[in-house]
Amino acid sequence: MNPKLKLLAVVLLSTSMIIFPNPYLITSVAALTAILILAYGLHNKFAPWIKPLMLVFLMVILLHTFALNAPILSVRGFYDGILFSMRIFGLLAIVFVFVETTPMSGLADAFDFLPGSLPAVLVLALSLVPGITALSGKIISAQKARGLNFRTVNIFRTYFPVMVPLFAKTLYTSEKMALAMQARGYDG
Amino acid sequence: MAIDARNVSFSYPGRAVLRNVSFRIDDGDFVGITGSTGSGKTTLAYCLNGLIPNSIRGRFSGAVSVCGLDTKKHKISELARRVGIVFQDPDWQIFSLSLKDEVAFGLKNLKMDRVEQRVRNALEMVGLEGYIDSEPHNLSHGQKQKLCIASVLAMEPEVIILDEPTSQLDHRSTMNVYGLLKSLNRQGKTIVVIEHDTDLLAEFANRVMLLDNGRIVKAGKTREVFSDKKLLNRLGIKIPGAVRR
Repeated sequence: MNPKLKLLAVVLLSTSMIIFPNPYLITSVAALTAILILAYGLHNKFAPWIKPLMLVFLMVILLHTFALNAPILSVRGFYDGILFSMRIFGLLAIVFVFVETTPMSGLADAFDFLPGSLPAVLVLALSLVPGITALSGKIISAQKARGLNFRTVNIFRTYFPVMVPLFAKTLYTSEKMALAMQARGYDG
Repeated sequence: MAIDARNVSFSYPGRAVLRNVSFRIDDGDFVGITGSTGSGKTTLAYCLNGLIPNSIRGRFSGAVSVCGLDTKKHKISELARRVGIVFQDPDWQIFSLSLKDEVAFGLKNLKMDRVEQRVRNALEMVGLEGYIDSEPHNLSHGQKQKLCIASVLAMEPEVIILDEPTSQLDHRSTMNVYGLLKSLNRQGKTIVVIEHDTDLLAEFANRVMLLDNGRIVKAGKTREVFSDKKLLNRLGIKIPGAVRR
């Protein structure tokens, strides 16, 4: 499918889900994206992505259920909570399917209507993504090998040992990339 | 004369990297630059294509002329037509989303003609013609390095500088890359390679320069330079097998 059409579909579906909280629309989009995820065999990739959000969905449902008619439990609130969670799920799933089923060159093509040097900036940013993903994996493994426990509750203990080298290396790479571009005649 | 460097010094704020370096490289030469880590090899490479003093901040003195162009008086984009550089890590250079676009990048910047044909020729020279529409991040490290070489070759510069081009390659890919460099050299290209592996330099380079602490401590014909075992030992540079025997 043409990446531009795909992007248009993503924008239309997402905005309609935000603007019109129609239960039929929300249920259909959430079901459609869930079917697409299964059809493309992306469920194994999607599961770890959506798993941490299950707690958020649960909180949303509980909040709606008890806050709407506090302190009495509300069926209407429960129903709204489910819908709201499905809305978040749908939005995330749409973007996930779009990103996972479109090659990077297609993503860049989809955004080439942007003015000035924005498409070039986007291409550069996209090109860094696989490298950063691979690098973060390596850094996490290296820190695990040095005994860092990622299951710890203290986020600062795990955040800094990964983010600091990742940030430093990414900055270094982008600086070198700029030099390499200049060496090939880029004046921009 | 391909490169003429006279009294070149360069320092980053608070740290001198090159100290009064002078040398000449003839057209069609194959020169190796080696030295311990931090001896100033990469900085010297940046001086040869105008990144220093035009883009990298620091204190520069002296003069570098590449193919008759003074690097202080010409823009990097003008120098890029005459001298190409392959960086140590291909991930610093590759940013396009297809091999075709990556190789065409420099050609489009320099507004060169026959872009498509040049792209095909360059990819064919490094054996990547079958991947022309592929995404570069799917390539192996060796293939990425070859892609970087192709993107420089496409611009048909007279001088090609390579900063440790095979540091992350296996033996077969290393020999492929050096074989390619040798054949380009036979076609008249001037090759300057920064390399830690002295065995490779002993096999392929005509001349070698030894750098230590920002100074050229010895330069000359490869065999002559590498036969100074005492100096190599002092600098911590491996004595090539061909000389040891």
